[in-house]
Amino acid sequence: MPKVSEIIDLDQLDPRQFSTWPFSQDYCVTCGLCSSSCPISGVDDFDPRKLVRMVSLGLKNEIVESRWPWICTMCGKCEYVCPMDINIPGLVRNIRAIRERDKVPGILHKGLDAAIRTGNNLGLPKEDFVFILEDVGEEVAEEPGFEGFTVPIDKKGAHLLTTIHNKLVNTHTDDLKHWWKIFYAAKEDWTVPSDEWEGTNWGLFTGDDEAMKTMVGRIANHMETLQIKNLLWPE
Amino acid sequence: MQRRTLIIGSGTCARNMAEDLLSLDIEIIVAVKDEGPDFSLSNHTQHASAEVLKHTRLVKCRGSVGDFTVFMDQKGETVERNVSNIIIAEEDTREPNFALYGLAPSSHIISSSQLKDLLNSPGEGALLSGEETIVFLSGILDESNPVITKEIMLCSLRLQSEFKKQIYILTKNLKVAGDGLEVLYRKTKDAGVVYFKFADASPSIEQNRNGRAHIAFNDEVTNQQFRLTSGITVVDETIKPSDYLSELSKILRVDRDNAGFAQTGNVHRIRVLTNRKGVLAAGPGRAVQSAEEHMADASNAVLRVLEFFEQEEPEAIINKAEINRSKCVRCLTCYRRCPYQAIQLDTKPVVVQEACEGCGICTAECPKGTITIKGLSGSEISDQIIKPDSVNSGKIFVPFIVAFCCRRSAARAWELAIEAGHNLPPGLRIIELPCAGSISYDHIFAAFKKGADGIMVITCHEGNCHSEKGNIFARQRADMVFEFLTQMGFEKERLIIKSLAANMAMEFSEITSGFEKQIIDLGASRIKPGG
Amino acid sequence: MNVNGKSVFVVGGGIAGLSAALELARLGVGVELVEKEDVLGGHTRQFTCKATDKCVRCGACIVEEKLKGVSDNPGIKVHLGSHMEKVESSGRFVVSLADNKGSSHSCETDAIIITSGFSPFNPAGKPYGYSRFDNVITNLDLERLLRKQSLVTRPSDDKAPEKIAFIQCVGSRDAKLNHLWCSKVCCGSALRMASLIRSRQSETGVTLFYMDVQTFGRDFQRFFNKVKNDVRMIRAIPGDVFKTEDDRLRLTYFDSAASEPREEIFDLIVLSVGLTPGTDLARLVAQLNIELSDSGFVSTPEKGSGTHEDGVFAAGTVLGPMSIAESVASAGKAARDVVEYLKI
Repeated sequence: MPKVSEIIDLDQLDPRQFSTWPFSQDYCVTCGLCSSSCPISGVDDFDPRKLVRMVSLGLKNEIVESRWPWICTMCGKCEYVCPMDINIPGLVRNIRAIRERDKVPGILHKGLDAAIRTGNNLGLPKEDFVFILEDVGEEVAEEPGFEGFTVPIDKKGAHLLTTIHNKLVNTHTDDLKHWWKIFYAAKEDWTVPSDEWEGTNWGLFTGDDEAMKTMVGRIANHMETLQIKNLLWPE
Repeated sequence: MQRRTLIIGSGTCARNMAEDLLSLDIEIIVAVKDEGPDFSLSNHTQHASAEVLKHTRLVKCRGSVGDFTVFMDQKGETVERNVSNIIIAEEDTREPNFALYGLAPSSHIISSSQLKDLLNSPGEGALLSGEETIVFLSGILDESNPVITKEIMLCSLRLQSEFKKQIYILTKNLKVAGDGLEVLYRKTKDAGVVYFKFADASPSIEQNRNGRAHIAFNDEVTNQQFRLTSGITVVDETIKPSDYLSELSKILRVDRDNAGFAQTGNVHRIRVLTNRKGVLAAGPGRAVQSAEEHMADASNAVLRVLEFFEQEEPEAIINKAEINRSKCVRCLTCYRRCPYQAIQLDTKPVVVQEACEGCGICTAECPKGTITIKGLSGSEISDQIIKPDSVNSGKIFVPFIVAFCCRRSAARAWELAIEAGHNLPPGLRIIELPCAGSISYDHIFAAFKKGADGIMVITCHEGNCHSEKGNIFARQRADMVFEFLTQMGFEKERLIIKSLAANMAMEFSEITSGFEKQIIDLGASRIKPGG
Repeated sequence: MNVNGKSVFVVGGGIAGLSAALELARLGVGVELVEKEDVLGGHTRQFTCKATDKCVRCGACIVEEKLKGVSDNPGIKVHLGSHMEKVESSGRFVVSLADNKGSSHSCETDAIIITSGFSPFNPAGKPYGYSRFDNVITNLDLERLLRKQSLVTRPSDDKAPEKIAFIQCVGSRDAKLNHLWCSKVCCGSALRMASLIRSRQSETGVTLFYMDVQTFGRDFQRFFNKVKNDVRMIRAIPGDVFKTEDDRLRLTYFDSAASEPREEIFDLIVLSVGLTPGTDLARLVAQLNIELSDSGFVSTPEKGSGTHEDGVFAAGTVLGPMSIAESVASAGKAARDVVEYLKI
């Protein structure tokens, strides 16, 4: 069983290090309910209770360097069952936030970096994005009952703005059609932005509040610029 | 009758009872073995007086409830008093668990009492100011209890918030089964106390040459190893009866528990009774318990005393034992057997009526049959052994089963079984006895002579007998009868001895029905009724 | 001391109410014992004896002699299937008693002792399948079962279970539910029943999932050492219970020692549910001007048995979780306090 660290002197420990964190982590009674419920308990020796305990004990280096906080899917089942109401997903996120940005695990870091620079996790240029949307839009228009369908892009004054998950313009373009058919049948007056359209905000997962704010800010900006009052953000 | 009670003890429980009894016009004598605290008892009425005897230890006690003569030693002088009741509320002691953890006390290894003293003394000692870390060892080798845990938590709360120390508490099972302890536990964690709990493994604890403890352990949650070689180590304590408390039980002839407290765990003693009428055990004299529980004991003890003086009619009419002095050969068997210490020696043994519980153990044990209790004589019992009608009717063999039932357990279970409509053998006849210990050879043989095909003796479970040992005496009697029947060439399987509790109707039905089947297999008894 | 002519209402006929009634009747106080069910005895009357070769001191059997004591005592008037409908206090209390059939009558009393007991936690909201899976029961269900039949069987098919799991602290020590207390008696109840089952049904294995084992009784260390050899103790609270295709139960828990999640199959799961405030408390608060503590049990400001309302006292589990012995002691305390109050 991998150890967290070499033997630690209690005298060197600073359990108060994270005491200001608002997740009630110190109230843990080590009942093990979280670990018993977690769907990935046991993967690489991870279990959520360990993280709560490490924060409570102030094991800062260990917690920042550990892979465990990044294995968590933040599904929230642990929080649901915890009798002490400890916000474990929130705790996990905070641990992620204190790691240096360039040490954030590869794909999350790369994707978020791309999103901040280019407006989407893939770094997909605007023309390519529009091309894909129109292309799929044409396929929809060919289906019976959807004659005349078009994808409204950057439509000012529309009723509803929606974001796009990057996989829908990458590996799962067909899944775009489900939403669009519903909009069409409901005669919804909707639109997507041509730029800075990314709905998958990985700042949530990497504990990067600044990045989260930037990306949310972009969508808010669209709503102001396009004068749209309603937002659909299916994440 | 004088209304005077002796209270032995000096703690809050004893003082509380003293005040309370005085307010009820009951005189009190308080015997304190040492100097004790300041006893400022208000004289509530002109009738009731209060006497506080310091440096006074009980050495002897004669008499019985309502009329005890106590002999006490006060600095070499004998003090004699007459009282109606005695309440044992003597303080317990705290034994620090240094040896248990393999440690010797030092300037850096102290007990929780020493810590409390340090915290409460002005100038809190240089000892604390030099150290940042304090580790409590509690309930690691032996299980602890909520009284100790509460003290440790309160101490650590102060140390953490007032003295800015970092507290670590090492324990196996955290004892929070006490009022407000879960909330207190949470408060200590708010203040920054850190707990390490162990399931099966224990921390390794050693003492360095400089007198400090070296503690190393594996945190079972993170699998991380920790150690401490500095700071102060506080060992917990075991709450025990003092030597004087153990002595008191012997002098007053009350049954003790395995630890030495003046009350057994027998549920019939709940809350402050002992096996001896007129002698009560309260507060620290009774068991390991919290301060609030001490106070509840005090109220209950006062009620018992009040009831003794005020109750006009006894709750239930009990037939008491009487010894025929002319036939008595003074073997003293009854004196030694009486579980309630209700037999006094006045040249020959005499049953103290007030103290007698009518259990009948003495009548059964007396080798000369000189002790009688109304309703328990051989003929009186024999008269009750009547075959139920169902036994005589028809060609099918319906066994006649006589069940001697303790009135507190078996007979109650029988009533519940009837209420619940459980199956009972049609040939069953219940003979209710005050205690299974009152069953004699006469009774058993009377049953056989009356034509019983099978005989049951149903007692309370071991440890549940109101007379503490009645069921054991019944077992001894049954064993002798088994032996006798075997020698006689008679089926010893026709006698059976079982135990059960008052609330087990189903079990009563099961054991009687099961026995009936056995008897059906054996067939009818060869002993013909009559003669 | 003169309490002649005084009367006291005892509300609730469980172990505390029976004890208080007997204490007062012995001192000549007139007692009216009000019980909402059709029988006296409360929860204690439903418990089983847990003796193996000897008594384990649970205290359940003492309710029987108290029941007999009350029914034999002419000074105690029992009102079954009844509850207090209205209470007016002006010196004495004027109580309107209603019974389940709808009729009511009014009577006067000098003091009231509330001994209305507790409510066992309903674990249907926990992910253990209670009320969905027949073979997931509470410790109270198990007490009732063992009282009726000496051998444990599964509710779904009446067969003896090969493996039983006890899960402790269900509904207790739970900040989410606002139940920040240990219910004190569940460890004792579960371990004694586990021990009993093991002694009668040696083919049945028992596992106990716990957080912290609480101390109970006088000789706890000895009992605990023995029971640890007989019952498999696992320091983890299980997360989920699923039903298998062959009507068994799959339970998930985290094995700290191995640092691995585990799934294990059991035939019967017993949830040790906590003691929570009684359901009648809302009504009693309205009727009597008493107050509740943060935990929802009746508050006694002076730490005695007196509530916030003059002349109204409380004893037993209506005050908070406590054992049978503690309930009897609590009732004694209340009786003493009432006697003091009646002298005024």
